[in-house]
Amino acid sequence: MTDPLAAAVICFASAVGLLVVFIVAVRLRARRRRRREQALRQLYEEAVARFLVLEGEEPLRAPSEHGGAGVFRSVVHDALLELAGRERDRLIQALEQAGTVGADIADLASRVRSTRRRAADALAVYPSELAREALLRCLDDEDIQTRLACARALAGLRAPELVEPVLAVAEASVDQSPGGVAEVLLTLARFEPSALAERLGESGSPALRRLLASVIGELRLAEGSGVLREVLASDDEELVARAARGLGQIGDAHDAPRLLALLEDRLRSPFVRAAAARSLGLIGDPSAIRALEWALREEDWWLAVRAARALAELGELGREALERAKLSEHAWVRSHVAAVLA
Amino acid sequence: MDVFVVFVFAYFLVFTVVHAVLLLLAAIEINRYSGRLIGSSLRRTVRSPLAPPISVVVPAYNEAVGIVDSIRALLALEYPTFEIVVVNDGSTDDTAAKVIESFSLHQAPRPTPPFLPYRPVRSVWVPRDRLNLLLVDKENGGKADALNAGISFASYPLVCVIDADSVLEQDALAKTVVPFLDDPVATVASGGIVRVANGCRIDRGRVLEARLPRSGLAMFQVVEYLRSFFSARAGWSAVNGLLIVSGAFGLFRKDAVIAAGGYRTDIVGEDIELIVRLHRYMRDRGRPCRVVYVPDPVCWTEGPETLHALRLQRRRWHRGGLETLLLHWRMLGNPRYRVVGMLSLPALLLFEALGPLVELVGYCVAIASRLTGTIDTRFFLLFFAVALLFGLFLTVGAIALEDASFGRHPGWDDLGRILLFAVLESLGYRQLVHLWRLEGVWQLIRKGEWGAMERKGFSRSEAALQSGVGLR
Amino acid sequence: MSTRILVADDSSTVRRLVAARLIADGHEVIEARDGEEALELALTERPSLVVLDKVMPKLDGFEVVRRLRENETTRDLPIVMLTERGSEEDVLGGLDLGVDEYMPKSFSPRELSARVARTLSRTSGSP
Repeated sequence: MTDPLAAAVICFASAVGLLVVFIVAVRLRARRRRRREQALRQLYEEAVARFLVLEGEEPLRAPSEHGGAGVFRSVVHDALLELAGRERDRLIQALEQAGTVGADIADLASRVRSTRRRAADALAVYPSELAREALLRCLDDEDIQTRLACARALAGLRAPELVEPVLAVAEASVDQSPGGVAEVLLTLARFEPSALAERLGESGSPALRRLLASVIGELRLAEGSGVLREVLASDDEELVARAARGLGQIGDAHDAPRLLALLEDRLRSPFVRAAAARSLGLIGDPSAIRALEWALREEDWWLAVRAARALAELGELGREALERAKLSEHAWVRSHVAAVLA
Repeated sequence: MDVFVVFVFAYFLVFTVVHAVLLLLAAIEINRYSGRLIGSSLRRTVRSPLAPPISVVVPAYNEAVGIVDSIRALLALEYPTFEIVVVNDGSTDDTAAKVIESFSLHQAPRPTPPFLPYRPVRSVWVPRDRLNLLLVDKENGGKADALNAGISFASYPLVCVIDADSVLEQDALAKTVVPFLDDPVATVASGGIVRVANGCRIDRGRVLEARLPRSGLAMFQVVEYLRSFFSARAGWSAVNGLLIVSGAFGLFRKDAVIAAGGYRTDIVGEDIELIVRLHRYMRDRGRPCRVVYVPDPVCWTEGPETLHALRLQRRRWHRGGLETLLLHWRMLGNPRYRVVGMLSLPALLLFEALGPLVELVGYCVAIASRLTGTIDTRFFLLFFAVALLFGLFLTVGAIALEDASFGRHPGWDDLGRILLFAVLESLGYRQLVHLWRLEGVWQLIRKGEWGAMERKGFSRSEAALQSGVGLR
Repeated sequence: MSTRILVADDSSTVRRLVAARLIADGHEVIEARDGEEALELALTERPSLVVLDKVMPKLDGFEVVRRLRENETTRDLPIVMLTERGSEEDVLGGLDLGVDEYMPKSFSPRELSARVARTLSRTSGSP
C-alpha cells in the first residue's frame, strides 16, 4: 500500500516543483520583455507626438529596432483610438507611407489566428483603402472575431459598394456574436445610414433586424424612421418594441399616429405598449393624451409608469389629464401620478 | 482498515483529477479572454450607444462611515448609462441621513413596485438635479430583502448587485457586461474576479495601492481567493456549470431574476441559491441559461481579520451551499439541468459538502491507526505528505495561472509570501476551515428547518420574462 | 508668459500627445500617471491649469477634482477634463463639481489646445 502513496507523493511534489520553476521563468522573461518594450514605447510615443504636433517637419518612420514593430503598432493603435479630426487622418496617411499598414495587410494572411485577429482589429482602427482587397478576402476567415473586425474595417472605408459584403457577414455572424455585429452596424451607420434602413426593410434574420432597429433608433437616424414605422406591424414583439423606442428617439411627429395605434392595441404585450407610450411622450403629440390616460389605468406597472411620464411631457393638457387621474379610485394610479407630479 | 484507506485515497485522487481538469479549463478560458484584444473592445463598449443601461443596487445596513465615499466612487464608474439604487435596510445609525445630506436628496412620493416581495418602504429620496442616484429607505429585512427591494426599484434591464463595502474598479461594469452583449438571449448572470482588500492602501473608498495583507489570516484568504477565482470559477464557467457569482459583485438580467422570484430571505446562502434557481427556472421552461465568469479583476472586498469573524463566515458559506443542495436536490444528476445538474451540483455535494468530513475523518483514522500500530511510520508520513501536496499542487497551479495572465503581484517577495502561505495553508488552516464547515452542517441539522424550506415553489408571471436584454 | 500645465492620464500615449501639443504652444508641462500623483503634483508644483482624464487608477478624475476644490490653494485652479464622448452623465457630473471645460474623447490636439487657451484667458482675469 505504501508504493502507490510514495508514487503519488513524488508525482505531486515534482508537479509543484515544475509549476514553481514555470512561474519563475515566466516572470523573468516577462520582466525582460517589459523593460525593453518600455524603452521603445517612450521612443515611439515621442516620435508620433512630434510628428503630429510639428506638422510636416518630421516624417514618421517605421521602427527598425528589433522587436519594435509590435510596440510601434500598439502606440499608434492607442493614439488613433484617442484622436479625431485632421490629426487622425494625417497619422493614418503617415502609417500608410511608413509601411505599418502594409505590415498589417501582410499579417492578415498569417497562419496564426491571433496575428490575423490583431491585424484586422488594427485595420479597423485605421481604415485604409490599401487594405480593401485583403480585408475582403478575410471576410471568409474561420475566426469570427477576425471576420467581424474585417467587416468593421471595411465599413470604415465609406464605400457604398462595400455595404453588401459587410451586411452579409453581419447576417451570418449575428447569432454567434451579436455584440460584435452591433459594433459593425454602428460603424456602418456613421457612413451609410440609409443602407441600414434598407436592410431592415427586407426580411431576414430576426436577430439582425432587431439590432438594425436598435442602431437606427439609438443613433437617431432620420433616414430610418420610415422603415421603423413599417416594422411596427411585425409579429416579432422584441423588434416592434425596439422600433417603437427608436421612433421616440428620432422624434418625428409624423410617427405619432402609428405609435398611438400601437399603444391602443391591447393585444400587444405591455412592454411594446410601454415603449410606444414613452415615445409618444418624447415626440410630444397631444393627440395621444386620451390613449395615455387609459394606459395609465392599466395594471402593468411599466406601462402605467411610462404613460404617466409621457403625460407629464405633454404640456398643459397632459397635466390636466394627470390631475383628473389623481381622483381615480385605484391606489396605484394615484401613486403613479403623484410620483410624476412631484 | 485497508478498505477505508483505499476509499480515502480514491476520494482524493478523484478530487485532484477533477480540480486539475478545472484548472486546465481555466487556463484555456483565461487565455482565450486575453486573446480578445480587451483594451480596444472595452473602449468600444464604453462608447457604444447600444450598451444596455445598468442599475447598481447597494444594500446598506449601518454603513454610515463609508457609504458616501462608496457612492461617490460608484458615480465615477466608467459606463455610458447607469443608476445607483441605495437601499437603506432600516439602519440604526444615520446612514440614510448622511446620503440625503451629501447628495442633496429630497423626498419623492414613489409607488412601491410590486415585482418582488420585500419589507415595507418608508420613503424614497431622489436628487434635485440629474444625478443618477436613488435612495430607498425601508424597514430592516436583511440583505436578500434589501436586494429584492433594490431590484424592484431598478429602472434598467440589468442589475448589478454589490456589497456596500465593495470597492469596484472603474471599468467593472464595462467588463462584466460583455457576456450579455455576446449572447443577450441566454446570459442571465455574470461576475468577475474579486480580490482581498486587506492590506491595500484605501482612501475614502478607493484602492490606492494594491498590497498583500500583513496578517496571516488575511494572507490565507488571499490564497483561497486565488485558488477559487483562478481555477474553480473559470473552469466551471468554461463548461457553463458555474454556481457562484460573488455577493460582492454580480451582474444579472433583471427580468430573469424577477421571473424566478428574486432572492430568498429565509436562507443564508442567498447568492448561490439564486444562481441555481435561475438555472432551474430557465431550464424548466426549455430556455437556455448561461452564467458567465469574466476572468478579469472587477472588485475588492474586505475579508474577516479575526478568527471569530472568519469562523462565522465559513459556517455561513457552508450552510448556504448545503441549503441550496437540499432545496434543489431534484436537480442532482438530472439531465434536464445540463452541466449544473449533472456535474456542478454533484461536485458541490461530493467535494464541498463531503470533503471536510472525509478529510478530517481520514486524519483521525490515520492518527488512530498510527497510535495503535496498525500502520507504520512510513505509511503515516506518506499519507500526510499526500494530503499536504495535493492541495498545494492545485493552489500553486492557480497561482501560476494568475501570474502568467495578470501578474498583479509582481514583487518577488510577494510571490514568496503567497507560496509560503500556500504551503502553510495545508498545515492547519485548511483543516481548521473544514472543522468550521462541519460546524455549519451541525447548525443546519440542529435547526431542523430543512424539511420546511421547500414549502412553496415559484409560479411567476412569464410575461415578465423577455427574450433578451433589450433597451428598456 | 509661460504657464505650467499639469497633464494627468494613465495612458502614456495620451500624455505624450497632449504634452507635445502644449509644449509647442509654449507652455511648460508636468505629467501625472494616476489620480494620486495628479493630486500631489497639483498641490506641490502649483500649475496654472490641469488637464485631467476621467478614468485613472487610484483616484478617478471626479475625485481629484473634488479634492482640488476642497483645498484652499487649488480651489480656483482651472480644470479641463477628458471624458468619453456621448456620456451625458460625465459632463453634468463634472460641471457640478467645478470642472471648467470638458473635452470629449476622441479629441483633436489642436482643439484641446484652443480650449486650454480659452480657459486660461477666461480664468486669468478672475482674482
